[in-house]
Amino acid sequence: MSNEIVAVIPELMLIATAVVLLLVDPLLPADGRRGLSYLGIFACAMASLSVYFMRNTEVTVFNGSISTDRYTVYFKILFLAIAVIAMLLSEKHLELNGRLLGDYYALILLATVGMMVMAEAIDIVTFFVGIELTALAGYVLAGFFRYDELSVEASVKYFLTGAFASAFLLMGLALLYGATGATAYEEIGARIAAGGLDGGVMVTAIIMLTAGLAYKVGAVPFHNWAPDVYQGAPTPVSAFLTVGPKAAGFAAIVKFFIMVLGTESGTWVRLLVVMAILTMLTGATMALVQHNLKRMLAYSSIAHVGYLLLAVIAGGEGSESFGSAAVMFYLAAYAMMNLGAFGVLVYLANNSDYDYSLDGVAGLGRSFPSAGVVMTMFMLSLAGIPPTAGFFAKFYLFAAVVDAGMAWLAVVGVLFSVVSAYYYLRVIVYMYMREPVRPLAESRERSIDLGLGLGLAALGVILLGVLPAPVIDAARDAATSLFTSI
Amino acid sequence: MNEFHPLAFYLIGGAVIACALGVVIFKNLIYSAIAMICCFSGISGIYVLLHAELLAAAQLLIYVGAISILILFAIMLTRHRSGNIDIFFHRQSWAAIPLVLLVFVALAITLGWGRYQASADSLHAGTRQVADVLFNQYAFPFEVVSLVLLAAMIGAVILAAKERKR
Repeated sequence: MSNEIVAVIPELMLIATAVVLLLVDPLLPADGRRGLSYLGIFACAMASLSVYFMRNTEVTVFNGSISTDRYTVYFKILFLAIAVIAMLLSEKHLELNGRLLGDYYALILLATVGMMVMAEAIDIVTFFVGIELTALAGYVLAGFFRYDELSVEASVKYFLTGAFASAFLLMGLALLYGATGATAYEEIGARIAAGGLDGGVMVTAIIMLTAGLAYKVGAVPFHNWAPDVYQGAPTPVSAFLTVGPKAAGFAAIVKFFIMVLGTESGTWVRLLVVMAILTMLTGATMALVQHNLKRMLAYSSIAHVGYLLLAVIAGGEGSESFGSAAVMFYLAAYAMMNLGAFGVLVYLANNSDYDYSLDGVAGLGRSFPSAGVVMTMFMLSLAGIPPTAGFFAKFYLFAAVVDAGMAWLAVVGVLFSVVSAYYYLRVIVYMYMREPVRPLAESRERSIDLGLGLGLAALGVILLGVLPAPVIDAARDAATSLFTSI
Repeated sequence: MNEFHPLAFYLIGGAVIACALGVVIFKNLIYSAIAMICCFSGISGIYVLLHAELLAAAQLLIYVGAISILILFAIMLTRHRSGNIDIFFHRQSWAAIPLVLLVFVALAITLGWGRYQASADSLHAGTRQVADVLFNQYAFPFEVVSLVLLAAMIGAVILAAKERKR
C-alpha cells in the first residue's frame, strides 16, 4: 500500500495544492490573489523534484492501473515544466482582464494531473479517465474569460467536439476490450500477438481509436475545432492547450499504438500516413493565409502534429525506440517554442492595445525591442532553423523516419517545413522591416512572472538547440525502458 | 439464467432507435427532450434483459431521473431568451445521410458478425461483483473520476456563478 502512495506522490501534491487554491481563493481580497500562482508553481516544482528523485523506481501499482518508469518520468517532468511556464505567463493577463482567480491555477493543476495519468496509464480504463480529466479542465479553461464572446464560443466548440471525440474513443476502447477480452495494455498486446482475434472488429476498433485520438491532438481531418478554440481562448490558455494536452495525447499514442498495437501496425500505419500528410498540408497552407497570429499559431500547431505523426509512423515501421525518442524530444522542443510564441502575444496584449493581428506586429522590433528579439527566436525555432531547438528536433525526427525506411515521407515532411518557414519568417519581416500601420497604444504593465516565463521558454529553445544531448539521452532511455519492459 | 425472448429485445431496441431518431429530428426542443427520456428508459430496459440490474437502475436514476429532468428545466428556464432556433439545424444532411448510412452498414456487418473474447459472464454481474471490480481492480481510475467531477464542478461555478463582489 505504501508503495502505491509513494508512486503517486507527485499527483497527490498537485491535487492537494489545487484543493488548497480553491479553498483559499474566496477568503482573499481581490488584490490579494496576486501570489496564488506561486503556490501552483511551487507545487509543480516539488512534484518534479519528487519525480526526479524517484526516477529509478519502476513499479506497477493499483492492480495494474498505472506504472512508473523512465518514460513516465520524462513526460511528467515535461508536463510540469509546461504547467509552470503556462502559470507564469498567465497572472498579469488574468489580472488585466479581471479574472485573476485561484480556480484558474487549480484547473491547470488538475489538467496536469490528467496528463500525467494519461502518460502512466497501463490500462484502457485509467487512460480514458485521464484523457477526460485533461479535456474537462481544458474546456473550462478555454471559456475562462466568460465575458468575452470568443472565449465562450471556444469553450462550447471545444466541449462539443471533444465530447464527440470521446464517444469515438470510448467506442474504440470498448470494441478493443470486446475483441481481446482484456483492459490492461500488456494483456491486450499479448492477446493480439497470440492471434485468432476477429479481424473486422480489431480494424473497426483501431479506426475509432485513431479518430478519437486524432481529434484530441488536432490531426486532419479532425482538426476543425483547433483554430477557433486556440484563437478564442484566453492567450495563456491557448499556450497551455496547444502544448500540454497535445504532449499528453502523443504520450498515450506512442505507448498505445507502438507498444500495444505494435503487431497491428499494418492497419494503423496506413491510416496515419494519410492523416500525417493531410495534417501537414492543411496546417501549412492554412497558416499561410491567416492574419490573426493566434489563428496562425493554431494552424502551425496542426502542422507540427503532422510532423509528430511522422515519428509515430516511424515507430510503427520498425524503429520503435528511435521513433518514440524523436516524438519525445520533438514534444519538448515544441512545448518550449510554442509556449514562448504565445507568451510574446500575451506580453504584447498586456502592454498595449494589440489585437493579435499580423499588421499589429509591424515595427515591433523598435517599439518593443526585447519582445521582438525573443519572438524572432521562437519563430526561427518553429520554422526549424539552426541553432534553435526546432531545427534539432526536426532533424532528429526526420532521421527517425529515414531510419524506418520511409525516406519519401521524410522528404514530404521537409518540403512542408520549407513552406512553413514562409509564415514564420513573415512575422519577423513584419516586426523589423514594416512600418506600423497604426502605432500600438502602449500601456506598460510590467510583470516579472511573464518575463520569467518567456525567459525560461527562450532558455529551453536555446539549450535544446545547442546542447540537446542530455534531453536526447533521457528520451532514448525512456523509449528503451518502454520497449524492454514489455 | 433464463434467456430473454428475442422479441422483447427487438421491440425495445426498435423503440430506442426510433426515440433516438426523434431526439435529432424533432424541431421542438421539448419533444426532443421527451424522446430522449424514452430513449434512456428503453436502454435501461435492454440492461434488464441482459440481467445487468445495477446498470438498469443506475440508468433510470441518473439518466432518466436526474439528467433528463435537468435538461427539461434548462430548456424551460432559458426558452424565453433563446434566439433563432434554426441555427441548430444545419443544411448538410444531403452529404451526411449517405455517409452515415455507409458507416452504419460497415459497422453493422463488422460488429454484428464479429467474434468477441470478452466473457459474457461479466454481463450477469450483480451489485456485489461490480463493487468488487470497481473498488479493487479499478480503484485508481475510480478515484480519478472524482477529480473529473471536481473539475466539472469548478467549471460550472466559473462559467455560471454570479460574479463575486470585489
